[in-house]
Amino acid sequence: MSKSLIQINNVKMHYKSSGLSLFRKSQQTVKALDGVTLSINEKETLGLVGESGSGKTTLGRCVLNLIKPTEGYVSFNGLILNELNSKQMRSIRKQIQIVFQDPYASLNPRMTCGDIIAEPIIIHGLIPNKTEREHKIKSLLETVGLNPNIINRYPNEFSGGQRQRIAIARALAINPKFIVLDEPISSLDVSIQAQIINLLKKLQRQFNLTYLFIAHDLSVVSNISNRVAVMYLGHIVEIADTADLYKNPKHPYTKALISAIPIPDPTLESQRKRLILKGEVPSPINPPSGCVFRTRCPIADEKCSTTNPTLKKISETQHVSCLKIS
Amino acid sequence: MNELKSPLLKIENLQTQFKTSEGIIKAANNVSFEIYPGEVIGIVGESGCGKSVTALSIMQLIPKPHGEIKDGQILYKNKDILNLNEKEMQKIRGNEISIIFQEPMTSLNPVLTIEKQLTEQMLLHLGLKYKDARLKAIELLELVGMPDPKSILKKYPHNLSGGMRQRIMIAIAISCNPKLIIADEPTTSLDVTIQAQILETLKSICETSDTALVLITHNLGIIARYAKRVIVMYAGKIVEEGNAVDLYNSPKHPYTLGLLRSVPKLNSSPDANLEAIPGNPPDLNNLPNGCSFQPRCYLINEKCNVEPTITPVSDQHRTACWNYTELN
Repeated sequence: MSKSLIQINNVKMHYKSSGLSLFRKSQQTVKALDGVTLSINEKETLGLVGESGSGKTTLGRCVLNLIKPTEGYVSFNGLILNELNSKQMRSIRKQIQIVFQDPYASLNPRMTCGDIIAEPIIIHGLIPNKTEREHKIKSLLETVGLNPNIINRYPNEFSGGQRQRIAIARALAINPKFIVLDEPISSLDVSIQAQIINLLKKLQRQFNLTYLFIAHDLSVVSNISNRVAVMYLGHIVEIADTADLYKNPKHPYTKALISAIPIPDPTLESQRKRLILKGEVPSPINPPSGCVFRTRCPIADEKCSTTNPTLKKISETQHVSCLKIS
Repeated sequence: MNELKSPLLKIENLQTQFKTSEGIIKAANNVSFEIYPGEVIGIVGESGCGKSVTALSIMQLIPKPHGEIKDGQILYKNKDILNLNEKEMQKIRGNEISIIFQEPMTSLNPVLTIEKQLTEQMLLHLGLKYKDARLKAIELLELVGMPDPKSILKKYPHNLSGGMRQRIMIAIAISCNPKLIIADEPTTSLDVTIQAQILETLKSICETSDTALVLITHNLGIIARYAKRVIVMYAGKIVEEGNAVDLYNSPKHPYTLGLLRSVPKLNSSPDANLEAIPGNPPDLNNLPNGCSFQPRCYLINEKCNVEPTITPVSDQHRTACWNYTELN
């Protein structure tokens, strides 16, 4: 087993909202993350799956120390991120990068593709010599499968898939150890999604990268992750090795998510029994008591409304947070 | 299977164009297909392939004056609806053919209550009294699985979640018992578990009322689950059409095959690479000569410089590829 690179320890992120009332000073709390513990091992890809509002992006931001958790901590290589001063943090930032979901929004339209990729290199003062820097940018473009001659072109000249390649090149520019991929392929066309996944896998092997791959779709995650964590309303409900999770999902929410993926095979689909959840994800302002999933759970009983489930180890590689599973 | 019935809607050589600063774009280029009463047909393709333009052309909602239906026929019950004037078309829109759009956030009017938006069509097309329309609205909301329909009527779209809004859209679409519903990416902006709910609701409603459904999506899995017949579009054209089982089991166009192979399988190992289609989606301003899929295809030869026409492979299977026999 490889050693863990990132430790997320009981992280809570509670946002205070004033609750838009003129007369009442009601302080409502949005519990975006409510006690998340995870570790990410070196050179692995951890998939993080959940619906909108489950807290997956918030967790990604906590890991990057873009926001400070209200409770708990994240450590990188043994260093606790929110205890570092800004100078120390800067040296850590060299090792962690992010690729965002929408390559139409994450690239500055007024910068050339070369300047976009050069920016992190300049900020960290890695390659002061201009010719050398250009050389590096060109080789980065080649690495992500683009023509190095595009260096002086602007993002609007590229398609979504090409832009995402530029964003990946920017993330790679400072030789990071760890990259948070926040839904990197959700806004791309089907035929391009596979290209980007293949590219990310190739880069991981080439540069020994560690990924946190955030997605709302289990089928995408299955193909790239070594382990998958499933989130619901700020909690991790199940975490397991990818193969175990798909073959033998334990948590009723994981089961529903897997069953909700339509398989592109009409014969298989017609024989498949589907577990369709009722209702919608409750508001994180006032989450249900006890198990947060109980309002939509097909097997919940009274105990689930009073007792908080914790993540239990059910095998060497699988952890589940459900009272009904022993 | 459908030879006995006559088609409900028959589209022939539909050509829809848009004028842009860079020239004329043929967004739907010679599109022909038929829809039979009560069937579910899927249209699949990537962005810019012409699937939404085809839907908007059927509804005659192409934005003017940039867009224009240049040529072709759209026969609804054997009558060409392209010849109808706006007033006559209004009688068909919503009443005989209705459409569900992708974005439930923008397709409902934010300043009108659900009650107003849901009853509007029924007052207009069915000539119901307001009281009756309201009762029917409550029934419809129950049908689409909304909890507490009476209180929902008083709400505004912003009070509802994305999934609930899409249910309202479905309720509006079915309110006048149309013969055909066009669902243009109805669940793309929704969460996975909500997607499954909405599609199941739509399917069961269409089944019970024998309504034909055109399901437009880029998701091959959704099509496989719901559609009996599938149309694959690429760069404004239909490249393959067939019975769902045939098309998925033995695709006859390299693009269809590529799409099917590039979808990640649930049980695949993380070490195996996906088989991606190389290159980028087509730029309609700048299409290659001959077959539009040429630059991304692995089967090309000289023949591909001539544009392939869609030809039958078997009884219910058509493809627009010269070299489909070499496909494996």
